[in-house]
Amino acid sequence: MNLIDFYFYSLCILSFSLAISSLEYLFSWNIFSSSGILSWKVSKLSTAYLSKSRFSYPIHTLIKDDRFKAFLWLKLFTSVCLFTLSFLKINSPILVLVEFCLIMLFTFRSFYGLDGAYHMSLVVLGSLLLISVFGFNSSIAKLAVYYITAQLILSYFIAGIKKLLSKVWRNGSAMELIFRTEAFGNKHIFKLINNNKFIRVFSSWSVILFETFFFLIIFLDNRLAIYFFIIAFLFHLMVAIFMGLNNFLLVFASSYPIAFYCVHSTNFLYLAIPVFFYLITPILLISWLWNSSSKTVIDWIFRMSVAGIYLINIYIGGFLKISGLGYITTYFLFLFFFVSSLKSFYSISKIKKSQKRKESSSKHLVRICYSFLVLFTGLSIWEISSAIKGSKSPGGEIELQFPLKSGSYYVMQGGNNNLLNHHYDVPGQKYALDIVKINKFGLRVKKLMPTVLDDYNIFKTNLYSPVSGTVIKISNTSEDFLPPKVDTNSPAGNYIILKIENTDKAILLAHLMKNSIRVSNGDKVKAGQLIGQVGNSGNTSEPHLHIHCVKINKRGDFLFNAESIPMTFDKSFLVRNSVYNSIE
Amino acid sequence: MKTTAEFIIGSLLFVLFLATILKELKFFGNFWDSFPVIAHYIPSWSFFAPNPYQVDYYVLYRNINQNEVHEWKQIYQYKKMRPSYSFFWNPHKLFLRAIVDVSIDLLKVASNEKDKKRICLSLPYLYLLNYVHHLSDSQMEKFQFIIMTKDTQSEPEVVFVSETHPIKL
Repeated sequence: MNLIDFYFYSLCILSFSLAISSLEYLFSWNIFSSSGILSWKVSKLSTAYLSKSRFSYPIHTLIKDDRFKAFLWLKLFTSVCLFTLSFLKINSPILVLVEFCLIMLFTFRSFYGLDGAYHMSLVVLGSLLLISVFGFNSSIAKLAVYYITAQLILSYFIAGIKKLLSKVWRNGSAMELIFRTEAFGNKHIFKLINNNKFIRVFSSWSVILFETFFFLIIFLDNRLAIYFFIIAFLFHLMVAIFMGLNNFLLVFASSYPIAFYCVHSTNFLYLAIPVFFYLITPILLISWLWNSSSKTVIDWIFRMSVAGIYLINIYIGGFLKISGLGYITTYFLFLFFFVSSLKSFYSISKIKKSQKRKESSSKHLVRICYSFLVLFTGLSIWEISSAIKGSKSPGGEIELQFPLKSGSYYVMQGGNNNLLNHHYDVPGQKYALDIVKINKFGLRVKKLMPTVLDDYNIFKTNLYSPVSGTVIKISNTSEDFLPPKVDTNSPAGNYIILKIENTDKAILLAHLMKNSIRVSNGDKVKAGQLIGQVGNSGNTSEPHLHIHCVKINKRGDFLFNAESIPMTFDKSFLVRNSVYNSIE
Repeated sequence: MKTTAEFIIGSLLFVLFLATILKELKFFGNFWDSFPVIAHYIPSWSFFAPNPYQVDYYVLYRNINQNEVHEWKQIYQYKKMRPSYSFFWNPHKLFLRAIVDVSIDLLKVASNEKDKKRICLSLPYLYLLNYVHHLSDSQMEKFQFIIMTKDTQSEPEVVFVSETHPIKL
């Protein structure tokens, strides 16, 4: 699938929708006139604070009174041009930029009357602008694609969860309430649902379930995901037909081609999950602590414990596998946590009694949330204790020389249980390590969104023999693929197996670069001898060095069915999140 | 240079995404009120939840002379039925949304603010004041407006009464 095609599909739908909305605004121009409900005479007061800014004069001059009408005409013209160009598949960053600026001006003209469709058009057009300016193959284009998809999923999820928490939505009366109004209602639908409880409840729950579970598109394959997009389109079509909210239909539909491309042509899922658990969740917990609504010291301690324990959990056992964001992110999170703890502690006494009474009305919901947080914290404590146990060597380890030099190396997988080490359940790889190289900022990639293998710090890093011994076996012909592409036929990719001298143990070093191996079968090697370079061959998520030690068996299996031996480097048993500074 | 741009744009998009979540969770209370323009660029994804739109808002006004008080007049008549093409073309919703948003915001201000002067200086009040002022009969001396709520099943209820204001030409 090619991003270019999906970009033009999105732009085509969005520009068509913006052309219609421009015409609608021109048709209803009276609302912006000096005698209109959103007159500039009043609107300009809302941006009064801008009067101190040097930008105030040009902005006010541009959008005041009837001049705004000229902008609506320009918006119509730009939309029509973009629609035509998207049909012809001609990229025009300037036109997209102009259209984006024109949409932005609406907020300056008046906040009122702007809805979710306006926000979605900003999200989609802003992201398309980034794609258009920086190129379809750029890392920024990838970020823009992720952003549209994340906002689309979030939009439905928030709406779904809020409805789920609302009693009137759960019992179906929300549908009745909406459809009996004159502004957004519909007489026929009201009659239908008023007389039939089943339809009322069914329609209400259909909306709740669709919105809440739309996020499943990131887990589904193409054929199933497309049904979700069809349902979403039909949902907005119903809203347009029965509620008159026509602007949502095409604006939301414009995000679907990009979202479809994203979930099936990029590794969105592998980015979304770590971002959610290792960035969004801790930030939300710390923000919750920051919020000065702790009524008592006990409440403050509870909030601090929930956030603090989760942070410790991700610091010890967490897997910060986020492109461009290294393990160092956790230190910033800890800093934010301490500042928030102090801030919220000093604000306890400032909470007014009236606020306490106000909050008691939602006691039931608060209890549910607090119960969930208690369970969540219990799970975090269990994970912390497992991670501590898993960070201890089982004994009988073999001391090796660290195989990489001149730099800091970060262990992504490693430890004495499957919480810290995803190899643990494979007997031969029980104590294996996955190692990446980090720079002085703790980042393991040179770019936020790596586009080539050289963007990973460890790629092409020289590999030195960790032991003195004999080469038993090598493989040097597997291709190095750009993530997320993997070679499942050859799990280890290019590798070297070394028999440690005077022992019955062997070391396996895997995922090496094609044709980089400098030793042959039967060669004698010394510890510290250059033997190859790190690559990205085999079944690997990104360039890294895989190393493990096994007891040599009669089957000659060094990878799966073998007895794994724990390894130490400078007498240290490395586990996930360990950083090894190699100074040689 | 390209890497710096990538980090800046990536961080900006992440902050926007996070702000969208925080805005919905209302963790920072009135924090967003300090940045009205920026706050309106951050998406809001509530969509009729948790409380659906359940009553219609009617704005009525009347003109007042020394010894004469005129009848209340409605500034907008809801259409009995939307035309069949409204799923594609519905310009009337723009005025409707503006009136609804302004009315809801004014009621919010009125419920949070005890000082009448501050209510009268609030943005939604001024929007309605300006609009009703232009609708008022210039021969008259003063005007006043009210907001009523009603749904098709219940009696109308007056939820806001404005001050009386002079009509100035």
